[in-house]
Amino acid sequence: MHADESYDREQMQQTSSILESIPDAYLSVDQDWCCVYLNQAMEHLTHMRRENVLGRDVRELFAGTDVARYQSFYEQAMNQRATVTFESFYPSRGIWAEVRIFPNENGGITIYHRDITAQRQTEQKLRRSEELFRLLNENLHDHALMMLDAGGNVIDWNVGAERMFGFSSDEMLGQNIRRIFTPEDQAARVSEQELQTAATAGRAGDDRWQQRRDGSRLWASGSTTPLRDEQHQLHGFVKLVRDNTQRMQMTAALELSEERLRTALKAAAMGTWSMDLTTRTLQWDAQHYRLLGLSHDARVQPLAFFFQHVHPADREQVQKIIEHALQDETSNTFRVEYRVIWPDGSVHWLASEGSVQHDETGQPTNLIGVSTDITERKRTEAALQQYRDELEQRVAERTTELAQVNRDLQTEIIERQHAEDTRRDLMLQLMTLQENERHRIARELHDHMGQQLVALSLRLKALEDSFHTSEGTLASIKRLRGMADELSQEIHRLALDLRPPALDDLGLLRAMQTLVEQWGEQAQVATDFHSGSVDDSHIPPPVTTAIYRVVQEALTNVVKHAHARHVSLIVEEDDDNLVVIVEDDGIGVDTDIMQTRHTNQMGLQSMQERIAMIGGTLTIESSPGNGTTVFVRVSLAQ
Amino acid sequence: MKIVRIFLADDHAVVREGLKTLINAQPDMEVVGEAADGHSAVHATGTCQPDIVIMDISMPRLNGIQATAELKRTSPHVKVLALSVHEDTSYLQELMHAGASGYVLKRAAADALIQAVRTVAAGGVYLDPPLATRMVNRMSESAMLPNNAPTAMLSEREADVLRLIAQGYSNKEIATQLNLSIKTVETYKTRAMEKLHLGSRVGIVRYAVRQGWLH
Repeated sequence: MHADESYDREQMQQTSSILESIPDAYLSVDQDWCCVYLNQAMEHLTHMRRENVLGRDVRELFAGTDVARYQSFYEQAMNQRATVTFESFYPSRGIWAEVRIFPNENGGITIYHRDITAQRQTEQKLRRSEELFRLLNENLHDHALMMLDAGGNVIDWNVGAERMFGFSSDEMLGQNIRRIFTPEDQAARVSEQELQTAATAGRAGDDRWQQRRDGSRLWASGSTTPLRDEQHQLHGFVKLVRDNTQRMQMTAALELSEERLRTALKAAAMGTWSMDLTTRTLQWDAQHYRLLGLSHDARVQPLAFFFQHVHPADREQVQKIIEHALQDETSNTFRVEYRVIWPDGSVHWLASEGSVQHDETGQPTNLIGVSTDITERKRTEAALQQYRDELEQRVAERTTELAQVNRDLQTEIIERQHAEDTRRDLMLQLMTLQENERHRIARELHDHMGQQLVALSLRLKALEDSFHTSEGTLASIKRLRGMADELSQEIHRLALDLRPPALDDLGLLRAMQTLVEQWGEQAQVATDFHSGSVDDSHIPPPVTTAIYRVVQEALTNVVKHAHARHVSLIVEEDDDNLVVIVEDDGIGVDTDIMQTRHTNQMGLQSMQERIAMIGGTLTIESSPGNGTTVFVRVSLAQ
Repeated sequence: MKIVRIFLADDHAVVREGLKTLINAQPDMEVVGEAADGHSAVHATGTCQPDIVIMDISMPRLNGIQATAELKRTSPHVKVLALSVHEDTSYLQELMHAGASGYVLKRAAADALIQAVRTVAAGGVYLDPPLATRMVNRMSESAMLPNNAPTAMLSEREADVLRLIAQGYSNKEIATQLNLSIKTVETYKTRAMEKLHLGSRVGIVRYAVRQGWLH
């Protein structure tokens, strides 16, 4: 054993040197817990020197230290004579150690410590990350989280992925990620390229159509990130994507709507513009440039660039309206119509409308809006206005014409009325003159020829009586007297027809009474005259004459047409009206027919005319079998 | 034999001459004076006091009618014999009213004047026969009024119609006032006239006057 001891010692020496050189810490105790060996690493680990430890009961030695916390493990190994392994942590030193306790042949135990602090930290990190991954995995329902190995095979497939792609975790684990790519992408090796990109660039964008289990497609949006260890060795990839199909569709719809808007704008010849109020610059779309006859320019333009193209006459107005929109807090919108001059010199009408945009503080930041070419509308409006003006002009002209015609007509009416009045006046004058003339002639006949004849007759009578004449001479004288008498009667009748002297000597009533009596004698018709209490002394001569002549005419009509047996002539005074009625009991006429057929024949018109001249009315009432009545009403009020 | 003193008033000298010749040829008549106008005639008559003035009607300054009235006022005993060209009863009436005793038509003077002078001189009245007949007719018409025809014979409507006719309304106006047709008014009128034996409208008026329907 001693030889063995020396060998052992040597062996122990060698072993010790080896043990001293390794970073692992060793400590050996005998069955009585007395320390028989510890290496340098152990000295370092326990902060104890070897001389102070060897031969000492380690239980006492380590009491109160970090090592003592694991006493139960040592005793377990000592007592059970079995290897016990555990990890220990020494807070005072911040060291993690893997502890293995081996029972040795001398009844004691050897305690082996391996510093596992670094390893332990990595593990902890990994555990944390694994925990996070788990949480993430479990909570990312709308995200597909896939872990791939370096070859692109799936090593983890979360719930979100299951839901998103329709493949269960079991189905996909171990499968290549290519499976969720579209056939065309698979053919184009897009999957491999993506992993390649991720590996080289550290990240690969992952926005593309991918395919579900049922073949339907979804728009996946996300990224692929490589997983590497400390040595930068590629272990695999994490692919995280979300289903953006809806958003993609919305984007597509938005794009479509924007496209439609563009089309609409284009169709409406509508250009969009925006104006930055800070920089006072403008930005137009291509259409807006076209509106000004310009080619597209992507650059922002100074405000002056715009005004340069506005018709000089409209610049002030446009400026004013923009300024007003900026100042007016109640209305943020504006509209302005103005002319622009194209480079070719042609003038076009534009209508721009827009609104003021504000920042969070309420400060106006820019104006945005659209412009339309309204040249055609303006042209139509102008044409319409012109047409309207022409129409109005024509209406005005026509109105003027009509007014003129109306005036002329009025004038004519007045002239006619005047002419009519004049005619009546003249007629009345003529009538009066005629009456006067008749009167004069009648007097002449009576006073001169009549008297001469009377004288002649008287002379002849005297001759007849005074001389002794022969029978022949006497007969001749008598014949002469007879002729004189006839002549005298003839002259009297003539004079009477011209102008009855009674009218002037005795007045209207007596004259009419005589008239109707004599008429009755001649016509063999019974006559009646009634004049009541009428005073004819105040009746003006023209009225007297007119009434007398009309009654004369009426009586003539009775003779001619009525076949009457009886005629009444009535003169009455009713208030200030003189009423003269001539009534016969003849055959009568239908007054309606008379109005048309017999008017002129019966001299009705001239009778009415005559009465109208003195401001009176003449009406005739008659019906077959009921005679005819002529009513003359003349106002005597002056 | 008493000589009838005659004064001639006529503005026509030739007529006066003719009259003078005719009158003076009569043994019992004498023209004692003459005048050419009414005024002179009245004045001269006052001085020469003739029995009869033969008076023309149409004279300047006071015509025959006025002169007759004036003369009869100043010299009531002087008789006036009107000598007229007017063959109507109106003149005759006017002159008789003024006080004339006779009315001779000039054209009949040669035959009738001497007779007329003698009649008037004898205190009678001489009127030209045709005119006298006419006067009689007029008087008789007024006298022949049916004065005893009772109103009770008329219906109320008939009386209404007659009253309005008498007031001078036309059948049409009466129809409107009474709210009747013209035909109905005509019927009422005819019926009423038959009942009252009225021959004319004037008859109706006179009847109305007697009934006190007018004023």
